[in-house]
Amino acid sequence: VLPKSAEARIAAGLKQFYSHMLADPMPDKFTVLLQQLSGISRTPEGGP
Amino acid sequence: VTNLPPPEFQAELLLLLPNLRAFARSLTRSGDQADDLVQEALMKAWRHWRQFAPESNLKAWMFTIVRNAFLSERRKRKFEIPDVDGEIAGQLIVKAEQPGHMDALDFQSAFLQLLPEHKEALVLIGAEGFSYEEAALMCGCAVGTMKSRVNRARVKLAQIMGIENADEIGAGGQIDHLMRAAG
Repeated sequence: VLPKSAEARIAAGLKQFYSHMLADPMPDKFTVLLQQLSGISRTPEGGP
Repeated sequence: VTNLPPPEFQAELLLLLPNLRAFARSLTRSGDQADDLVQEALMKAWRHWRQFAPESNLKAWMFTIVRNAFLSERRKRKFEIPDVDGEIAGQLIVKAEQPGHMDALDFQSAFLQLLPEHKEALVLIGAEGFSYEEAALMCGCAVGTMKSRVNRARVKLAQIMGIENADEIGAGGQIDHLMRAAG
């Protein structure tokens, strides 16, 4: 069993660490990729 | 006939992108590597969207695809090699000038030293709010194993951060509440 203070620091650290990653700006390459995927998806099945 | 996933599938996928990138980044050693994993996962999801059962959880499905892509890539590239000097510092996400950076840096440095299965367990349960049952299913292990991984991850973090022997002994379980509130 961890001390309460250790549990609290870990919980707060994880929250801050993950929040920073969630807030990371989305690179343009994902928008491009999704546009490309939409284009590919419109190709009839069995087509080129 | 098209292969286009339905609009609601696409929309939900878009909303999940930040979470997918954060999860991938927590597993890998660089942002570029994480983005590669997410791109691969998106392409797989797009190709195989019919395999997704609409009544099930798209987030869990996508996280599983990202995780599988990570494991596959790790087998190919063996990028989980022992840390070398400076490697951890180079991948820190919170920078020194940000408020509260000392605690954040302590946590990140410790987190990056965890075993991959401990990192993913902590993130899935503590940060993303999946249940132990969902996380166990995603990771292909027993629920008890998932609980054990989360506990070991916490203890290891506390050891690395030097906070495992503080004076106030908790009753356990408090961190579940704190983490879920954080998520």
